[in-house]
Amino acid sequence: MSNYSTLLGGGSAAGAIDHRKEALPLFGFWGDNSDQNTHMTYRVFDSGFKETGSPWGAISNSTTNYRFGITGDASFSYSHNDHGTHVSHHDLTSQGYSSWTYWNKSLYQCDQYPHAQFYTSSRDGMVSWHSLHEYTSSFEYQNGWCKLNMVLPEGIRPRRMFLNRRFTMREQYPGNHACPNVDYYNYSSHLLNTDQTYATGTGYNEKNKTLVMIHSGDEGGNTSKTIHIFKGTKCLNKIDRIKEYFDNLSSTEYFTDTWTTHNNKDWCVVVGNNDFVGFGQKNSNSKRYGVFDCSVKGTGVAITGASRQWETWQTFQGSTTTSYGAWTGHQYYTKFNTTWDGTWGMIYSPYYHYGPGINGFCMNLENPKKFISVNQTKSSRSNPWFSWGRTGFHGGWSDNCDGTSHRTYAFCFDPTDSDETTTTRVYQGGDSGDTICPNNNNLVGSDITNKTGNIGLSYSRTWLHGGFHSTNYPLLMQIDWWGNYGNNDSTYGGKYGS
Amino acid sequence: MATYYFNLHDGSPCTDKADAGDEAVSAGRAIKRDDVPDGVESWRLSWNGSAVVVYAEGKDDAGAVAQALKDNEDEAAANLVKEQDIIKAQVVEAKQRKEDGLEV
Repeated sequence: MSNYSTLLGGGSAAGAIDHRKEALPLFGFWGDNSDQNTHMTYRVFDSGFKETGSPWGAISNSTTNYRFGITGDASFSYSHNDHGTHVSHHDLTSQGYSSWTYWNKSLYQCDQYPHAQFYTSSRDGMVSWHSLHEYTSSFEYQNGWCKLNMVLPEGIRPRRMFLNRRFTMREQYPGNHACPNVDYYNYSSHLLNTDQTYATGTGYNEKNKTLVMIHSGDEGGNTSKTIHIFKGTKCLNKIDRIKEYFDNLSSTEYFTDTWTTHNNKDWCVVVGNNDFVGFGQKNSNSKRYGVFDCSVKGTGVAITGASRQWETWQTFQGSTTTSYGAWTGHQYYTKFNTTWDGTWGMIYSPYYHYGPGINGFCMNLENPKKFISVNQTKSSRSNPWFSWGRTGFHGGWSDNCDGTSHRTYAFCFDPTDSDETTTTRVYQGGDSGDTICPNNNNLVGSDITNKTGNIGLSYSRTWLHGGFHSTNYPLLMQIDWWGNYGNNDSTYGGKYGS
Repeated sequence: MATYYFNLHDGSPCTDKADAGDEAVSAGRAIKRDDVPDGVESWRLSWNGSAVVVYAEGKDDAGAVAQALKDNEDEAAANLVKEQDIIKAQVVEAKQRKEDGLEV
């Protein structure tokens, strides 16, 4: 019997394309004059910076077109301006999330999940900001840190959202506090050690069906840790009820340890294909990352962190300055994202205060022992970071593109590069075509020493332009590829297979 | 004085860690400087190709943040004037085009 997956794959189960799969990443590009009532454009580009179309490109030059008077955005009409009279001209330096318009450009807006904190944009360019009262009291602000960090196949972002807090896993439809859970399961009967009772970081790897969760002594700065490692025979993203995953475990193990912690809501868990797991978090102005062997050892074996840890904890190696994490507000939790092809991941947070620049560890998802520090030190005019191209990320730049080119900090990795004993190759762009494909045999990029190396990201000119032919500071925006189209809904429609 | 490494591509701060910094220098990506004033937050530091530059030199970090906010406000005000002049010119041009029968 045909279903959506087999139809896409030509009717053969063996050749079926996972219906969750997206094409290479898109990003939105917003530009306006400073009141948005005269000039505004919003366009969607692909990873080659080629426009994919925008239905809103022609709103300009009419006082009847007050931003979204025609297109009907609930957050802004003639007399309502939840997000201010413009969204892109504001600088972001030291402002926090309550500085609404500034916050559009914060690194914290986006992560590996398709939704953004303040807005939603489809691949067709339909963009809408949320009401302040939706996001300030809703899921991302208070509970986003509970989301699972997902390691998924090529082209797939998380399409279902599982949350882990205390001893309970829930599935939820992302939205405001009116959105109920769609599933609930208390897994405490499956735990081998319940000394620590606060789930503060969970990762899942779809290839080996491995779920790894940290339990801590509190949701603050408690350093006591119990790490559980569950291996399932059913995929968490494929089952109907969370209970099915836990009812079909092939292995359950744990270890305990004491980890330097600033705030437990910052922990990210990256479950590698090779059963090594990377744990990382923001720690004061810096960041820490450690790798543990979470392969099957046997019940009661290797129950201490020391017996499983690979080498030592690594401190972030790039430049640091005053910046904050979940200890100043749960919405400032450390982010996780992956490249489109699912071969590299990134644990990251701002370089400066609540949004600009980036301090991150990038790790190979086949083997999380393969990792480097990544750094970009802007202290103003930032933009969020997204997956870019097949194996990369980009973002960071929002300076005025009047008289100069818009730029982006773009970088990418080798998807086959998973050997931690060799350097990591980072490819970067250049200032012109001839610097990207030069008349010599030089690498355009850098080879970075594993673990202790750092790459300071350089910018590339994109020549993109946003909205208004004078002053404008274009805003890079997250695209929810799937939007909300019935069975292809971006969230619960993510269950795959028959 | 402190030691800091700066990215050569744009003069931005690279790191204060010796391992990562020395590797960046050997790869031709960074320059090492030993004449960086003590106690200055890295976001205020840059390399202009010949010397280390400190943003809002002489101020403490809180003063430098305040200076950055003021600089941004000044820039925004200047840009707004420029923007309004352009929009006014567009209105005049559109009016003229209508008077000339080039636009209805």
